Amino acid sequence: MNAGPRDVILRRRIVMFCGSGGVGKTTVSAATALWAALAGRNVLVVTIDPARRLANALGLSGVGTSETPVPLAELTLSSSRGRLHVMMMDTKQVMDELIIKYAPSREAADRILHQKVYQAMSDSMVGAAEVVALGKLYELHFKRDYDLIVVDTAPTKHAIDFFETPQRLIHIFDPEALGWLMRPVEAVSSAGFGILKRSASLIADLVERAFGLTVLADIGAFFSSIQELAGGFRERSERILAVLQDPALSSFNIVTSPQRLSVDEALYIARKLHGLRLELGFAVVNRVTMIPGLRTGDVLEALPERDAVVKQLVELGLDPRTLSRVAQLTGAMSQHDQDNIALFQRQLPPGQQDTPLLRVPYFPTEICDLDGLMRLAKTLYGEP
Amino acid sequence: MGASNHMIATPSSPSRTGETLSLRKLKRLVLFCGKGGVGKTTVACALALQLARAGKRVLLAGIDSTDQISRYFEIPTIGLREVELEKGLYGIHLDEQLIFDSFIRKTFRFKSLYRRILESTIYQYFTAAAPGLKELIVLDTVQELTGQVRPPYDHVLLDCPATGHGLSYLDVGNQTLRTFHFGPLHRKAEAVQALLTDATQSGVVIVTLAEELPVNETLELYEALRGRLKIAVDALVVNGLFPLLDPPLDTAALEQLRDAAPIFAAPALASALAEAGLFYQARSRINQEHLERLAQELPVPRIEVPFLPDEAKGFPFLLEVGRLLSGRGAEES
Repeated sequence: MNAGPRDVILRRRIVMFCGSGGVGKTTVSAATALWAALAGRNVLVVTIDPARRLANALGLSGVGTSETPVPLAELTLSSSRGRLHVMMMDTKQVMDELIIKYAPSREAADRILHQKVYQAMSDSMVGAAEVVALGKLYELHFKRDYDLIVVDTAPTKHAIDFFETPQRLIHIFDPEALGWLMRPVEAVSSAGFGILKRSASLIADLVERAFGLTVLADIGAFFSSIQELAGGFRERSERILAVLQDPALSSFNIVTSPQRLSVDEALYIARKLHGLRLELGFAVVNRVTMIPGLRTGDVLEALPERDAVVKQLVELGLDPRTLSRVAQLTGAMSQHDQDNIALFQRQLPPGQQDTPLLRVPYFPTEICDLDGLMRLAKTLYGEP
Repeated sequence: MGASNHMIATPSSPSRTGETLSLRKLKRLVLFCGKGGVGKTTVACALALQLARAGKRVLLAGIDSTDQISRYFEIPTIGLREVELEKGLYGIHLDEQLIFDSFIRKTFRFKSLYRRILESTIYQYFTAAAPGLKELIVLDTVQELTGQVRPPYDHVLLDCPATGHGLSYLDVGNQTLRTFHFGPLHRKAEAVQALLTDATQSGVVIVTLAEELPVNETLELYEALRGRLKIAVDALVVNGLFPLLDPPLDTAALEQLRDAAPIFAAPALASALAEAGLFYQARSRINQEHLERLAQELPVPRIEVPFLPDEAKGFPFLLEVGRLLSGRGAEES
């Protein structure tokens, strides 16, 4: 059974926001964190996106990669103990830090950091960002400096693959397979090869020929050097996953816009969560047009009140025809958004049908200060 | 025909800049880039349709957008083989994994061999870890489709993934050249790079909304394409606009209408009209502000497309967008 959104934010230790890009996930994360802080919790919001406006909204000149306090003086009642910190997750930097921390020596760390494959991978490998994010989350969670960590995940539906990472990691560090990568260019001369090994070496051989030797050597060197870290990574990943899977500690929430594309991606995420047995707390539909205007097909001319209204509009200097068309447009937009929200609710997996759904009306002005964030937070969760 | 759409979309006569995309100036390979959710796929589909109706042989290639493409053209699914969507218009789904697997099949012709390769852990590693490899193979396929198919396509339209990923796609030639120093992949990377940076063959159409974040990303994208990637940017499509009204609505009068609505003859209607007008004005104002930014910082032809409310309506909608983009009447068909 679902707890309400307020309960989620007041009780859980980790609150995740997932969703596709451009739906306002960063803003919703910040507003949620702010609300929780005003409700008395000690909160850290971790963001992936270094949106300048958001930094300004939080009263900061920029968001750095270390935990930065947000000055709440003007909003906080003197009795409130709540605090808010913000930090940006810089994948590359955190990944370097992790490698330095878990490598047996500084030399071993440097060996990895200077590899071409590592450098390319830490920028572009699918999953690298997720591994890193999990590692950092582990550290932040078990440090116990905060009551609540709000995480703004990467702006793609694939950020959800994040939670499959531990399994994938374990697969990558499979020692038997690693054996082959560690010496891909060595002559295959050992007499003691079993059938398995022989076929594997044949494959290594073929792949080498197709792709070029140096690549395979680089990848081999990378995996062999990173294997030293495997134990540390694995253990951390498993422990943080256990926290994430515990519905008493963690909650996964979806942010979407009422556009078909992001609704589809939101449903993808919902199904993924369902499959991974992670609890979907609530869904936020952001930027919903809630200006009913005129229904499609209605024209001002045809309405019974026409004459009186038209007269009054003209008196105010408003062109009735223009206003009527504009109202038809907003009517169509509102209907469109309602239809897509209904579609989203209908297609949620069976176990998630009763997920609370919060609608945020489209604010024509962009949020650029704490007051704006607070307005959004109150729209979502009411008074703290 | 989307006549009613058009009426709604451009309240009063349109106040667009009048600039359109000349179909004749489109390159052989047209790359559509932009932030997610700005209507990139719609614009690509609409242009593809216009080109096909102008008698061109066109291929529309999607990487992660084929669901949307097949919805527009009412085709159940689009796969790895080209399917005819319309007369002269073909669609293909460049599925990264499937294309990569088929590349392996072609490279290692014997079934027993490639089977083993596809199943081996080393291969899994390789595809997971080798940076940009899948993207390279996908672009290699694009290059083949652009240059080597018979009969040739006049245009190949590639709907790139949303910006972050889209950029890494177009940068993949550079990236893989750094990783693979020789061998077949090196040659592929060189060929891809040569095609993308040849301004007579390839050009990018950036699609955006006139709002803060999409415009920020658009400017970054433009910088990267021009500077680091050296790929020509041929046009900017600004989508989903709330054009200035003619005659304009006076905001103060709308506020008066809203505040006085309760004492009006039809309070509910008066209030609905006021809210609608204020909403439109606010969005239109935001659009204007960001259009100005784009005009100042992005010196490429700009095509402005008004917001059209009926995105789910499919084909007529595409024709309407295509008409607005190219300035050609949809009725020509």
